[in-house]
Amino acid sequence: MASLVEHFRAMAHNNLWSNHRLHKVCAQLATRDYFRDRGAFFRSIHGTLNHILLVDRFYVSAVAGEHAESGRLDGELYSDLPSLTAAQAVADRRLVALCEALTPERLEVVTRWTDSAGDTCQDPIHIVLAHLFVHQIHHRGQVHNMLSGTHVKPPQLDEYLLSHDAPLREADLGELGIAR
Amino acid sequence: MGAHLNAKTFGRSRRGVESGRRTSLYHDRVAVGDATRSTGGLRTDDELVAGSRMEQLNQYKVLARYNRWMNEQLYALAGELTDEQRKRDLGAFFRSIHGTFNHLLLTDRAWLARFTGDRALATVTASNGERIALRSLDQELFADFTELRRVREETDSFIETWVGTLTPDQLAAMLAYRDSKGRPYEHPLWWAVSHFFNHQTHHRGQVTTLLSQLGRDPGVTDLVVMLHEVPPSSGQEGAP
Repeated sequence: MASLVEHFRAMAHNNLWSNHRLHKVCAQLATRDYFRDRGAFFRSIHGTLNHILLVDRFYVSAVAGEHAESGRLDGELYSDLPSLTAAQAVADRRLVALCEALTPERLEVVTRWTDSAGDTCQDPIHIVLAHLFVHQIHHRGQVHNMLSGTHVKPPQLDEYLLSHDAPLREADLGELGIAR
Repeated sequence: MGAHLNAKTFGRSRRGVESGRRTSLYHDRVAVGDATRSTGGLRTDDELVAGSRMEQLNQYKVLARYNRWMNEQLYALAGELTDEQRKRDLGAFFRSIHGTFNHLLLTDRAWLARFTGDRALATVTASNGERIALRSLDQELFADFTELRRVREETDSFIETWVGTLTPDQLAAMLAYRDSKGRPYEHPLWWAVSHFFNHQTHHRGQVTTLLSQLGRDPGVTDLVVMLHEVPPSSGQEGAP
């Protein structure tokens, strides 16, 4: 059965898997490589990973129907990778749980939040999720690009959904304790 | 810089929402302004499921639009660079902006050939009429930026047209194909369609970093900004 709900569930699992792979590789970096300003939009690998988590948390709260308020988008939530990794995993599992609980009706619920200018914004949940999933992949692509300039090999991130990539993700899914 | 640009996403782009102007851009059943639900609440479960299936198609239509919008923006920016800058090895997975653009065009067309069964899509035609077949993932289809851009635009129009013809039943139907090593695979079409759009976004994310590294602001890349601010039928002039 194909449905938008199924698409979003797959995307949420893809996000959990991709961040797991990406953070695991980033953890192999020397500190100076991890923090180095590489001229990216959010400067460094560290800056971009912080931005991903910050925006994830914001929209996950909005999808959960909680009051969400945007602060600075280039803010540093955590100053070290292990803390960031742990917090990212929490956010990712929360997004998976929210998507698992989605129904076609729930997708059309309009959610509200406060933007960085203090204005109230609103969109149906399916638009918030569509945007959020593109946002995550876009910025992971930036981190992936920066990893190519280091001594560690960037992980394959774009091969979650297809059955012939299953062997590639088997170990990760075991580590994450999920089977999908 | 980042905060400034993204502030647009969270601020300016929302103005249309309160007036309800945006509703028709994505989805015609959302009655903006109703804080709880927008659909009347009288539909049966079956109708809701059917609605959700249609929305999956809408999702792909939006992603096809996003693909064209983003490619127009990135190719416009890349068009301002010198050929040497586009082809400069900046240590990306496919080395350069040029290499990544080639990879994306190639993989998009390889998938489209599988989706449609039209093997002609697994080739590109140069302006001199020469047919170039897809062979490997890091193949340079075109060395010339103008050629690359022309076929990119053709391909993006094709993607939008093709997605517009899809039905919910087709999305759920099995797609059978062989990979580059000849191994057979079969899974629902929608898995590959979701993958197809994710793959584009992933590699365009790489290109935006390459543009930043060359001192170019990649501009607004947020899907939600496109939905709120860019008319569906706009060309390059509609991009913010």
